[in-house]
Amino acid sequence: MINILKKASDLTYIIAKWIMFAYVLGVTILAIVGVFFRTMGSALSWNEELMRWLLIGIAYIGASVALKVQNHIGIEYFLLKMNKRTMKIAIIVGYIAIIVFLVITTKYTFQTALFARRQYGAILRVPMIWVKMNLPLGSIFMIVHMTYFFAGILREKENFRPYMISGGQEGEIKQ
Amino acid sequence: MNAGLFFMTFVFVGALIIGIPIAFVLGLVPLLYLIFFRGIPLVAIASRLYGGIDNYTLLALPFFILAGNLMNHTGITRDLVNLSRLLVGRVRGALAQVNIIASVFFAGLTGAAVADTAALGSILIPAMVEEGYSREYSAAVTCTSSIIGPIIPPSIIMVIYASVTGESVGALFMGGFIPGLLIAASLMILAYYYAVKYNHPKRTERIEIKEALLIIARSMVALFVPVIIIGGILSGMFTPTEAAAIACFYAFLAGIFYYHTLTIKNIVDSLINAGIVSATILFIISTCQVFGMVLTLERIPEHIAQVMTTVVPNKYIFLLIVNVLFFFMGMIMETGASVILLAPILLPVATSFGIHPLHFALVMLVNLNVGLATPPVGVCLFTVTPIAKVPLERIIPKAMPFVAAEMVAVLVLSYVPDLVLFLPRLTGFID
Repeated sequence: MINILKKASDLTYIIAKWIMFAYVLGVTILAIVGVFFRTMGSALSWNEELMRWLLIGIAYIGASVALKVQNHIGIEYFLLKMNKRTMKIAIIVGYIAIIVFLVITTKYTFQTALFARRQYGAILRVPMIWVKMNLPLGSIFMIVHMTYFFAGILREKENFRPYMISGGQEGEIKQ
Repeated sequence: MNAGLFFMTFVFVGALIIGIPIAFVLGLVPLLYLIFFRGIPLVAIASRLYGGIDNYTLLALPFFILAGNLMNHTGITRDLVNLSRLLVGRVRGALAQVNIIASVFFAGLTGAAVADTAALGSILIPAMVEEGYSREYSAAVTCTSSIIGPIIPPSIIMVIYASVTGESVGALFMGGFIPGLLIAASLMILAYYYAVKYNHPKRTERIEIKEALLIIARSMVALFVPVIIIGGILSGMFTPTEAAAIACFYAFLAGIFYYHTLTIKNIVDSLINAGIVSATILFIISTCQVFGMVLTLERIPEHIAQVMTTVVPNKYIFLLIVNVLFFFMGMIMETGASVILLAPILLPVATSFGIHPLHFALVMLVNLNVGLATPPVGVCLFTVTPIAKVPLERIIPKAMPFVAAEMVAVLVLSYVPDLVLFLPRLTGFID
């Protein structure tokens, strides 16, 4: 079971990573091209709007990538002071809370995205559903990773580090 | 304290203690509050999550991070170290001074302290150890001086502050120069004291004029980055976001055509890393908007302002209290998260005491940055530990006197507002 969850998490990570890469590359090129055209005297009207949309994607798709690479910022100080049993319980409670948050977020951001299918960008007449879909998509990616981390913590008795979601591989766990 | 507020405080503190990342805490607390205490449809959360990051200013974040990443791959760091050696190499305890001066130069490139610790530490710590400095001392100087990175512009944390308070990025950048130099001066004075006390070495050989000119010429390539950014913003040619994008383009060109060190893999890695680091911050900003909504519903900023103005007699005491608070927050929480959480609450209180918003901003940012070099969650300490190959608990006692020197600088900054306001006033950002 854990292997299937790991494969799903790894695959999700790869997909999300390259989507995020495309967004960052795209937004950088757009910004540079925008400055170039403006200094040439013909400012682009649409690039700022598109850049803001890409930023939304970077935030949510990137947040899922950050979750997988354990890059989210949390305070581990107290957790690392606990004994293993208490630590495991604390982590499990935390993960359930995060999964609940993500499921609710997915539901309502998806609803909001659906409402936006008849809304269009102010300059680029693109349906806003495509922009707002980044939020539920990123949240679903995060649910996949959280499910894997949650299963890993449930199973693990000694080394929790591979399944902890912040702090990377830093820090030591009290024996 | 009403039941809602008590509940939120309890869940907030509890969630942080059990290690839930701050981005999720900031989303989870308002979610539970809305479910249990308010009848507001939860769809309001979704629109807040989106609205919080639909902000043009925030685009500067990935660009500044990307520019820093690209620069780190070019070999610019060694040029900056050589320039610093040229400038202060003949002072007693030269390499410690070089470390601090190089941080000032490096600050003009990246705007992030961790990049400074990693890049300069990997070059200067081995060099310092070779000259006879202890590993602990070398690590302490490196990690405490790297906090200059986010104070002297460009600065990622200033972009975050601007996005949550509406302050001008340009004004924050200009306001950061003198505080950054003040921090550097405080560290240099202490390093010099130690150098005299422990008879630290200095460079005795002369550098030939030809070699000196070569070092300066090579460094100019790196030092041109802050010129582009600040010059572009001041001249009105670029917005801060565009200046950040141009800095990326410049770093890209310098890496490929001048340093010949930038490979496709480096560029791809830099883009991915910029995405991950930006997303981590953007996600916090996004969920913090939901948290902010609940704070407004509970009128918490108003209550805090009311209590502060009643209890605190004047702005001097207020500044002292917030400095203690910032120092404590800097110790336990990441700088960006602290700014996102505290700035919207405390800024109105500060202005009600007659403190200039820009002055308050810099006091907050500089103080919180000091926390990067303090336990238990000082990321620069964690970064420097594997580089110096010495346990964290042995670095901390050596770092603390430098942290104290930085706090003295923060207090000077707090009570002499002109140190912050002089340059923004001179450049027309404020009246």
